[in-house]
Amino acid sequence: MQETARPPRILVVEDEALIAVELQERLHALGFATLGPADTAETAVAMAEAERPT
Amino acid sequence: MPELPILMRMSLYERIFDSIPDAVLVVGGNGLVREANRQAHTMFAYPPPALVGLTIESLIPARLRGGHAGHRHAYLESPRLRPMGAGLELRAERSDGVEFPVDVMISPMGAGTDAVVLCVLRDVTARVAAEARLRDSLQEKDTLLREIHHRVKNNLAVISSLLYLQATRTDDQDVRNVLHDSQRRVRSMALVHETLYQSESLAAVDFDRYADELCRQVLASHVHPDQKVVVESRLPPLRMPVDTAVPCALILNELLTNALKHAFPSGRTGTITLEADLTSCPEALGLCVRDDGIGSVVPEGAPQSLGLLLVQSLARQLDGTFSVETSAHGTTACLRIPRRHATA
Repeated sequence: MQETARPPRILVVEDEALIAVELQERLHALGFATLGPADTAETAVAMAEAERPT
Repeated sequence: MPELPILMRMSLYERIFDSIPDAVLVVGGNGLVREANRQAHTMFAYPPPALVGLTIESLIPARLRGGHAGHRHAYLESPRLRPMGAGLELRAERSDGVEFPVDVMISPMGAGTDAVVLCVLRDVTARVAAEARLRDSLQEKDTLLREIHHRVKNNLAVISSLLYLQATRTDDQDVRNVLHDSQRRVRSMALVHETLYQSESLAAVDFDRYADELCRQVLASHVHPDQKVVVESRLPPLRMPVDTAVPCALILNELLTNALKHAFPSGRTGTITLEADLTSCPEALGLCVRDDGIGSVVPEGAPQSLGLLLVQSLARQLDGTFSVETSAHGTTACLRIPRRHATA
């Protein structure tokens, strides 16, 4: 990762809303940015193609 | 007048032959039907006596005919009474081309060039359909049960997330610790249901597989950068019904967590192993958590921890016992439960 780059982004795929919130907060605490959460496989694939997380 | 009774008997046997509710065929060594009763004509949809003179192969669907003549010759080499095609689903074909499943019993009659084979056939369409319905219904039950365990696991996982989210919203370290302990306990239960719906049979939990995952989960929830502790399970294959597995899971979670928290202070390295004890007592299954840490002594008169209370209460629920041995070389905590609670 370059020094100026944004933190790596991780796409969260989870259909239980509260579990998704926990995952996002844990990832943020570890210094990652997150995308989503996507709650279906189709949404996840569409988001992955549109956003291309690093 | 000796002929009359014989004639009467002949006609009686002919009537019996025609009245047998199963199809009966007498087949010559050349594979041609010599005799066929009325039920055989009804079953194969031929007007009597049209079956007589046909080859037996013409009653088999064309795609299955190949090789039948070979089977027939092999049977005549060593004829005996037996069901045909044991374990196979045999198919027959009516004159109008409709296929149906049959059970066939065959028996040799006569010897040498006169040898014939007596075949008794029964249409098993209804039984095969009933078996298929039964299989479908079992499959459906299995699927529903898996979905329920999946749902239970998800609900427990949501409770675990609620506890986590609450913990991250307080600055009070004691409150956070309590919430994290609770989260670990709920997760140890969720994992039982997850292991169950992923296993082949829903009747019992693969507890050794559960224990492997629990060790990983407990270790991952205690991330201390300076702590280099290995946590591993060495259980042999062990299956437990879910109402035994859940209390065992909660107990092992306490013992593993306790060892991680207290046996290796200030960056000490070491190993925590989960082992089965099948030798100390023939009636008991021992599940022992052993560490090579500093050993610990609970001070006299100290208040009972919640962890210990859980372990003792759950051990009692399982008709089991709990014991701890500790020395300067480490601590071993053992749960012993009646062997009937688990199978290999």
